[in-house]
Amino acid sequence: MNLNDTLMSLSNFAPEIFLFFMAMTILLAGIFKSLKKHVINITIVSTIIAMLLSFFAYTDDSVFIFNDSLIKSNVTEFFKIICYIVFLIQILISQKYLRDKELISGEFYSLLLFALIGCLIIISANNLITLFLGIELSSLSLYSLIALNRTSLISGEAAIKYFVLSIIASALILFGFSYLYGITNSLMINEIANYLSNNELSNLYLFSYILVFIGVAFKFAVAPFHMWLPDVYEGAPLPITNFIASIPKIAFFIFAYRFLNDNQILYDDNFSKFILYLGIFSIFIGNMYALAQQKIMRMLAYSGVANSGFIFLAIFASLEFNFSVAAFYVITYTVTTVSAISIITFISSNKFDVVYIKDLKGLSSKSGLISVLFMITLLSTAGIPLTIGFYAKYLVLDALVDQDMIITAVIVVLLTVIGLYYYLRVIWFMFFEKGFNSLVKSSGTINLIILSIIPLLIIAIFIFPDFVFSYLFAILT
Amino acid sequence: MINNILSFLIWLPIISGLMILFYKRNDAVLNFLNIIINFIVFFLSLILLNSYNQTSTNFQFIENTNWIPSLNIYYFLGVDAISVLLIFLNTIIFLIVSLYNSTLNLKNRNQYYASFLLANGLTIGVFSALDAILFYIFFEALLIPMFLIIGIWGGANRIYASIKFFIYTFLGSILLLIAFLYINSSISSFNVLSFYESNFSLIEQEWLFIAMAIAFAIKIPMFPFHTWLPDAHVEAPTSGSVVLAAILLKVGAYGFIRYVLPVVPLGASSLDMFFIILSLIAIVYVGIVAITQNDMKKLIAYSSISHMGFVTLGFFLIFQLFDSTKIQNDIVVSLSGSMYQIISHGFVSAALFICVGSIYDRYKTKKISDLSGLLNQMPVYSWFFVFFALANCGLPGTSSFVGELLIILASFKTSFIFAFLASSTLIISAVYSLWLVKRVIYGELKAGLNNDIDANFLEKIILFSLALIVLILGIYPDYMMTYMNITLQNLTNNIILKI
Repeated sequence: MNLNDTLMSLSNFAPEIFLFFMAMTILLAGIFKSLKKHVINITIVSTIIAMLLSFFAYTDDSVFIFNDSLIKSNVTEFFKIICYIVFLIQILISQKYLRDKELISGEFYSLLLFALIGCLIIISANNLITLFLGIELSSLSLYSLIALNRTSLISGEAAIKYFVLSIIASALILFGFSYLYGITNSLMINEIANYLSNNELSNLYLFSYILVFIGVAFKFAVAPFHMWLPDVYEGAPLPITNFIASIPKIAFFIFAYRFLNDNQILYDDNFSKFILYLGIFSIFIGNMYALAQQKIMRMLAYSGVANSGFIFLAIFASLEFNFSVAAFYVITYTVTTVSAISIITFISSNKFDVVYIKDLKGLSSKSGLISVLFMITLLSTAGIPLTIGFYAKYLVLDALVDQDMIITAVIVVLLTVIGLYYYLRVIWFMFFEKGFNSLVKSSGTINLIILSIIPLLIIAIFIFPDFVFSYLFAILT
Repeated sequence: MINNILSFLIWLPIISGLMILFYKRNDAVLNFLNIIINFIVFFLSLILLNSYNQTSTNFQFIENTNWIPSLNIYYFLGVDAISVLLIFLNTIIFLIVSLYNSTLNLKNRNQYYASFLLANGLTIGVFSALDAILFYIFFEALLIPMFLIIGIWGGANRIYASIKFFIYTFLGSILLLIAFLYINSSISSFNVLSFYESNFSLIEQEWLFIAMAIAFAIKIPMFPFHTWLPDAHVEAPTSGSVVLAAILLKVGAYGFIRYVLPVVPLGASSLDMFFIILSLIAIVYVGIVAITQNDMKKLIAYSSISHMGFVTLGFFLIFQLFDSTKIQNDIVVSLSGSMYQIISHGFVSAALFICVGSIYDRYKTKKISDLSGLLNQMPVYSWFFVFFALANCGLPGTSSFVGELLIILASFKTSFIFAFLASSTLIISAVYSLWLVKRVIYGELKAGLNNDIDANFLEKIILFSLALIVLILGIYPDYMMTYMNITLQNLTNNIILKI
């Protein structure tokens, strides 16, 4: 690797490297009392700078950097920019909540940035080792972030659960990696994925892929590997839940995309059925358990399980189409979840935690705007028209029907109808009941504007969806 | 402008409804704005009614834009006589509802009006969309304003009713989506016109028919799927009930005539006996259920189901008629009977719900056993109540008579049993309508019922105009018959060609 290559690699990876140094700086700044109050602003500014760097360096061609261990293409940059935007929304909204809970500190923001960098590395990785480093970087930061609220017992429980199960998932992924390296004699993901174009599919290859994808299912919280999710959603501080629910999902989607794109294994019956059944089972479990939940975060967690099932179905459907269906689903689900959790973060405050669904009762009389925004978000998660969630579900169903899997499609939609109930229940508490017992501060105009961004996009993209579809279709082909 | 009149009709109420959300200062201004908007929409639909060319078999006022090229979905609007009449019914009812609403004492008036304006635009969208997915989007989006109307402004048990309404109808419509996707996967188009040209095998048609028919049967509603309707009606505010009965049920009927009969006639004809029997059960059994009700709204709700049974009977008789007589005109008669029943029931049920709603506003009860002798206090109201009750049981001279007569005539040509059961409605509906009148309007005034406000000016106008429409349609049915004749003949041709 000569100097030129190094410089080229550095310049192509500049946003992440910049963020890494800023995360260090924030960690240092947090020690000093006089600088401590600035850590939020530094985090925001450096995320914006990284996003702009990434945005202006956007090109359509893909380059391999750092000795082919990382890849930078329009796919990675597009999903990274979404990560940055989502991350910005999260930290902007969470300020008041964190101040109320006295969680603001240098290490909080620095760990959050490290988690983000980990996810960005997963998105970019083309080497098994780099990929694993990315996974561990984000997971380790998240373990400590979940436990950051030291006075809370459930936070500790959530952190331990997440730690143990996530370690198992990482171990499975690593186990699969070792086999893959043994079979293909390569660490490069593109070579591993292309291996089948020259070789027969062996049982060992299939087995290692299944191990890797069980790991992915853990990270996506696809049933039956979803056990950690409700506890983490409930136990972690809301901004951390918001992070876990969104950015790692995007990262692991790209992970799945790298391993499966152009890979003949998708046409293997065993593997595709494995993905399909996991998806259906997850939709079933998610919707059934969500029905019974009284706590709003647990409800959202199980709804997340159901949606991850849909993502797996979409990945299954990419057999026939390309990954744009799954990508659209992932993006839709991520932004709507971020919107939902951000709204809950905004309503919760020091004196009043939104824990139960019934805590939301009568919200519309207190703040009509927030309840309408929340309603739009929930309807989008449920897949009702006038929101982009409709297209997300529509595309998955369309793909299933096109492959003559009508029965599967019917089962899936019937489960969705059952799932509709728990979304409607939140709406009914907000709109049909009376007596909200907290003070939603109407002062945060900027926060309200930020909260409105995603719901407005949800409706705007519903009306003009074509540029999104054609763009995703173009970059993922 | 005239070329884009459908877009105006759809988007004017929706956009103004969204704008009205931001205005809540003055109730009088809100009332005025709401009435004006609804009046403009009504006026536009009048223009549509007038400039529609009845002699053409084609869809008219077509707007066709490629909305989502990558998914092959078009913004494709167009109307035939069926749609025009339904759009006209829709705008009249919403105008009347907006007049009625301005007499009410409401909380969150702007949101209430906005919901109705949204429902208005979306329903027009349902009636004019010629792309299946566009239709589906309007069809399902229509649930949201109705859900909110029932849930926020409804009665004591409103939450149960609104959730049941939403989930029930959503269940049906999502099966419809699968059916559309399946059709698209084999003919790669969502265009209704290419749906009409599709040729599916019998077994495919049967499954498609089942999926689509469940969706629309829930919406109409047909007999075993009807249980959401009484709940929704009882809990909905009066204007919500009016819209529900007069418009929403017709969306289901429209779905049958637009998407089921011409697209999968083979499937429909192989399963038609089943649906005829369900329709007859709705007519007879649900009619008897209506007799036993003690809640006036519930009684009218069951009577609606029973009347809609006539509509579906008219739809599904056509295959039996084709088998037995082979005369195209008989089929047209049966379909026109159904269409007439749809329009007529829209007006009559709307009027009845307004009557009941006004009684509820004055006496705070809907229970028949709590009321008696209202004639003594409200003579004008009582007159209208009696009139519409008579119209409801199909008195000759009112609009309901025409539709029911045509369908009974058609059923005589197929089987005596069908005709016998169908005509029994003339007795059953007379029993529940007249007995209702006897108990509520006539008799001694019950002690404790104190109210000396008869119908006010606005209510008189509303009820009078509805009564006038019912009479005109009843005495001079020929206008509407000729209006839709060509369209129905064309539809019949399409169906006959495929079976």
